[in-house]
Amino acid sequence: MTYLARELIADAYYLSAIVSKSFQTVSGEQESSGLRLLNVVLGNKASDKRLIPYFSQYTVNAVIGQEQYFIPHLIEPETFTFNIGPIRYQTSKTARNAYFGSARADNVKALPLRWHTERTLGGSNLFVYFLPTGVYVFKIWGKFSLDDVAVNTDLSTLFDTYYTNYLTYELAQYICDSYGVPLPPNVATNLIALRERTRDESPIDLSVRKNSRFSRQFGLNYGQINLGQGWTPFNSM
Amino acid sequence: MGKRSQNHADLPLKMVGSTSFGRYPKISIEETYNFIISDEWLVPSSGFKKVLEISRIDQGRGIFASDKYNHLVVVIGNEVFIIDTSFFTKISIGLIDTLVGDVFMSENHKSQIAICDKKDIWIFDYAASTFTKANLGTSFLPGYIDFQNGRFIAPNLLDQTWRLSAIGDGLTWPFDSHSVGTFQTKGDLPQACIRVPGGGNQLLVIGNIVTELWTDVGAQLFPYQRSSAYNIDYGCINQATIAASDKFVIWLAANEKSGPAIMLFGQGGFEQISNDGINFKLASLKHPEKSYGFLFKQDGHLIYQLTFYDAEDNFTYAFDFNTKAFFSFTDEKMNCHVAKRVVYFDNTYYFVSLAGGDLYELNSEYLTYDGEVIPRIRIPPTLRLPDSSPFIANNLTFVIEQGQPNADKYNDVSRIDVSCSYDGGQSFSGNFGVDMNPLAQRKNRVVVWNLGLANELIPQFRFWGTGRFVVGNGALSIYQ
Repeated sequence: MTYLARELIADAYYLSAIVSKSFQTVSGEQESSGLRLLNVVLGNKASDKRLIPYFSQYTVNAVIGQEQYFIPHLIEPETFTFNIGPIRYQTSKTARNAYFGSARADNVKALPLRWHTERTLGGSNLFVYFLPTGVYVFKIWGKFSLDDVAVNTDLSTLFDTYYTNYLTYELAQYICDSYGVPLPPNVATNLIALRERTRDESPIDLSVRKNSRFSRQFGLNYGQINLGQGWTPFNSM
Repeated sequence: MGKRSQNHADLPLKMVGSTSFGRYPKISIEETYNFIISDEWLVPSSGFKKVLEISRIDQGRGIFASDKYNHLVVVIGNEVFIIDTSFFTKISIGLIDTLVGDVFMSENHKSQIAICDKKDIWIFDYAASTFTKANLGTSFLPGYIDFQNGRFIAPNLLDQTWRLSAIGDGLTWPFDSHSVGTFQTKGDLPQACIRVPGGGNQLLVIGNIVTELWTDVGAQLFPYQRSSAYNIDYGCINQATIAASDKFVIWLAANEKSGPAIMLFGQGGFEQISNDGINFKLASLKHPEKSYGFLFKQDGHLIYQLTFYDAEDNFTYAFDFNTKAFFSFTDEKMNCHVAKRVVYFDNTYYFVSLAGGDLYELNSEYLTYDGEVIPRIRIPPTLRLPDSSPFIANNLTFVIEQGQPNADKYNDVSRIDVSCSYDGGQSFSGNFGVDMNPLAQRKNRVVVWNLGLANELIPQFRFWGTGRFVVGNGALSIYQ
């Protein structure tokens, strides 16, 4: 069933008790103010990633020899793979210190086996190493920030009911703050409960991946780089 | 029940109140329609019931109750009827020469009932069964007629004189110094001569801009003597608004310097009873001369009902002498109330109507207007905090009794329509219906939740039902 942002804004005003559902209608000024606040609520989820309900995939084609790629709206990458034809290749997520702070040959083109992301304005920058030697299809799974909506945006095409319900309560809080009045106590209680439930709806994958210090595989060295070019196994730790 | 925040407060919701709006809506639009106050509760004003159909064409013009004759005398159009209320039978006793306009009646100590249509005086002698027009000559155009000390008394609308009939004979109006009084205080024409109730021999002679107090001292030359030290500097706009009962004479007054106001003459002297808001409303009247006023008692409450029936004015106010408060009365369509003249006869009030030529019984036992739902409305005074700061109205509540005693338990669904104004009474929201509980449940608390953010709030309550509504005070629960 269609659920427009306009309806969510009106419901939030009614929840906030600032507009009486029985006796009043949300004015145009209130609606535009509510829309602005709704987009603030949605935008703030970029800093409260656990309250973003869905993981998504983003694909981008590699550019030969390019290390850095801008991924719009990406805020929480979880996996990065690339495909050569139907074969998907695993990569290793590397911490900032190891990626940027370790010794390496910057000009090696091979299979990109290590990656790192940095948040930036409007999304994240993805860094890959080795530099791609082909036009591979990069696939990134993660959480992406929520887009702004307009009053006529059908939210039922973007979110499940539980999430629009949560957004309504969250927006009611913002509306009350903007009017300088407290959120009705029962609404505030419900908002806390909804936050808790929504936060646990799409948790990050905390499954353990063991890395052995006694692996028989060799570490990365110039031999690997120049001869194997990423095609031979090595210990990526 | 919603939880309350720490900064919660209750504002008194004055459900029990009168029509006491201010000059402008910002001051107050407090108004009460078709309720009166009894023991600090709102109780229904009287309903009515048609008891006799007299004419479907003509309009009621006047009604008079003769206790001596034990009949009602009713003028409908140009026809005069006597009505026996035991069987509600009507008998036509004659025709007068005019078809419309006010008719005034009085009776003397003989068997004569005088009927004055502001053109002629007709005498119905029920002992002789005659209906005769008095010979008034060409220089006497009679107005409001009354009786005192053996004589009919009427003003002459043509000049500044007022006339006495011969003692015990309404057909004879001598034109001599013994029978002609003169208006003296101002250059004014007398409009009515009224016996002062409880005032012994006192007589008020009311003009357009001044009122004189005369006393029947039985003097040889002219029996009445004007009070030389006292007069009222107001006359009346329309004789039909004059009413007298108990110890009062009350009328819609004005003078050459002041606009309309409701004035009361009683034992305490003369006073204005209309307040600022009512006076402002009266000052804006388009046709104050198109008005009627009468006194009646509802369950011990003496009420003066004043109606302005012109379509441009179209409202009725009732002043309750017991509670010293005004109320607004309407018909079922929110036009002015239809009662034109009321009489008390045989323990019942009867009236003729503005709306037709029938006879109605007015009684607080009737809770409808001849079967039509009476619109009962209460608009309390503006709810605001001392500093006018915004608040959230969480709920309002008040106590009510509804549905009793004679509501149709199968078909009558009592309901309250609530609407709110958030702009100082300039406009109201749509209605939110609150269905009343079935009578058997007898739950009696009305609660309306979530009224929104406001810095001044005016709720309006419209009570629907054919039963009784008894309404007590309440509270508005707010938080900031």
